[in-house]
Amino acid sequence: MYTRRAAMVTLVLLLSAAVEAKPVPIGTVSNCKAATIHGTNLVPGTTIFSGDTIHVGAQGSVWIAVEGGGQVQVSENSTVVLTKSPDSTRVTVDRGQAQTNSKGVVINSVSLEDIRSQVGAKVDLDKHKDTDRDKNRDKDRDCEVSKDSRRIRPCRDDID
Amino acid sequence: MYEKAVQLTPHNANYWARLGQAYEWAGRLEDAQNAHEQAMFLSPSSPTVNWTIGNFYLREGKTKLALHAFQRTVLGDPEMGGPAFDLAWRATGDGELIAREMIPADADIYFEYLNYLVGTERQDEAEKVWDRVVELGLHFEPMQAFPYLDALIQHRRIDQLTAAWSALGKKNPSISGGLHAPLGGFSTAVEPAPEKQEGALDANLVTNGDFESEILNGGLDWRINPAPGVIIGMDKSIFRDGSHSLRIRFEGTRNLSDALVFQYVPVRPNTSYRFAAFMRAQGITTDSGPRFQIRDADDPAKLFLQSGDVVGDSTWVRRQLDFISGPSTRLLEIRVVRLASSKFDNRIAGTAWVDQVEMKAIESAAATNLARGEVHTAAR
Repeated sequence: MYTRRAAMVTLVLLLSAAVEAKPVPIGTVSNCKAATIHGTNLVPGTTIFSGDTIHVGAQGSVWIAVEGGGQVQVSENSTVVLTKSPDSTRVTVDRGQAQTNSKGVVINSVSLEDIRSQVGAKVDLDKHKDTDRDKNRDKDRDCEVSKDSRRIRPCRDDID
Repeated sequence: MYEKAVQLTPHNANYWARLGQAYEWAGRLEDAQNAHEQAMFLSPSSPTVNWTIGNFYLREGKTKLALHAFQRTVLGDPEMGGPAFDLAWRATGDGELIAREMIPADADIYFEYLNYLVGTERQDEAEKVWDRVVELGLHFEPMQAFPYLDALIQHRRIDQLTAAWSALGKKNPSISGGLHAPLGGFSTAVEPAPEKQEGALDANLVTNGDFESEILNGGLDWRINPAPGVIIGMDKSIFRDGSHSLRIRFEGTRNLSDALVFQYVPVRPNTSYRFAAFMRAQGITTDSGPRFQIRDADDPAKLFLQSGDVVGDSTWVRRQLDFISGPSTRLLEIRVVRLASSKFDNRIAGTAWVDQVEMKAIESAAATNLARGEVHTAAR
C-alpha cells in the first residue's frame, strides 16, 4: 500500500516537473517602450512566458495582450514577474505599478525578496534580477528596433 | 477590422499577419494559422511577418517552425538578433537546437549570437558556437571575436583561449607571433618531432612583439590603456628591427602611474621563461621612466617582476627577466608601465620606444637561481 502510494507521488512529481519544464505562454507584447526582458530589449510581438520578468525604464511602458483576452499595462519605472497558475495569470509587481482590464489576471504588489522567502515559490527569481545591462539600456531606448520600414515597427504604431 | 482590411487589400502581408494575431486572441487558432501563412506567402522574407508567425508557432508548440521563422527574421533585420535569441532561449533552453535550427551560416549573425551568449553568461554554449564558426570557415574581422576572447580571459579558460587565438591567427595572417607557439616546455599535446622541440623553446609567445603589425587592442595582441598625458602609437622612423616600433610620447602634464600598454600571454605552470625586450628613451624627465612588468593575471602576488626603467636619453637598451611560472599560473600580463614619482617635479615628458619584445620557454637550468614568484628587478 505504502509502496503504491509512494510510486503515485513520484509519478505526480515527475509529471509536474515535466510540465514545468516546458515554458507556458502567458501573452504577447502588443506595445512597449523603454522595456527589457531579462536584459534584452523588448519588441512588439514578443511572447511572454510564465516566470518572465519585465523591467520598464523611465518614460517607458508595456502592454501585454494576455491569453483569454484583455491587457496588462506595466507603467514606467516598474519591474514585474508574470506567472501562470491553473486558474489565473499572476502579475507580481516588485517595483512601480501594473494594471489590467482582464478578469483572469491577478496583480500582486509583493517584492521579489518577499517571494524568495516563500517556500515553494516556483519562479527562478535569481534570473529575474535587474542587471546593469537593464539599467543602462533605460536611457534613450524604446521598442523601436529599426528605422527601415521593412523592419519591425515601433510599438506605438501597433496600437489598434 | 482586419477582416475588412484584407478584403480591401488582399495582397498586404501585414494586414494578414495582424488578422492572424486578432484571430489568435479570439481563440480561432485555425483561422489564425491560415492568416499567418497567407502573410508568409505574400511576404516570405519580411522580418515583421516572420517575427509574428514565429511567435505564433512558438505559442502553438511548433518550435522548429518558430526557430526557422526567427532565422528569417534575423536575416531580414539583424537588429532583431537580441530579441530573437532571447526568446528562443526562453522558449526552448536548448542551445543545440537553436544553433542547428535558427542560426544561419552568416558570420555577422553568428557573432551577434556569440556576443549574446557571452553577455548572458552562457559560456559553454558560446564555446560550441565559436567551434562552429571555425568549422564553417566563415569570414570575419578579428575584432568581432574580441568579446568572446575577453570572456575566455575573464573565465580563465586558457586552453580554449589559446586555441581560439590560434584559429584566429590562421584565418588572419596579419596577426603575427604568439599564435602557433606552444606555451613552453616539452609537454605539448602532440609529441613534436625532435627537431621541432628546439623550435618550441624558440617560439616567441608574445604577439606582435616586433610591432610590425597593426595593434589590435584586444584578444592576445597589445592593448593600449588610454590615459591623458600620453600618446601611444607606431613609429615608422625609429625602430630596432624590421620597420616599426612602439612609440610612447609623454606630454609633461601628468604624474602617470599606470600600465600604458599590456598584453595577455598564456603560459604553462612550473615552466622557465625568459622575457627580453628593447627600450629607447629621448628626453624622459622625472626620476621614474617607463619599464616592463610581468605579472600573474590572476594574482600579482603569485608572480610579479619588473625591469629597470629608462630615463633621460638612451640608445636601445635590452631588458631581460628570467622566471619560473608558479604552480597555478596560466595567464601572464606583460606590461609597459610608468610608476608615479614622489618628487616635486613629477610630470613626465619625453618619448620612449619599445621593440623586439619576446618571451620564450627556456631550459629550467637557465633559471635555477630564480625563485617562483620572487620580485626580480633587472639592473638599470
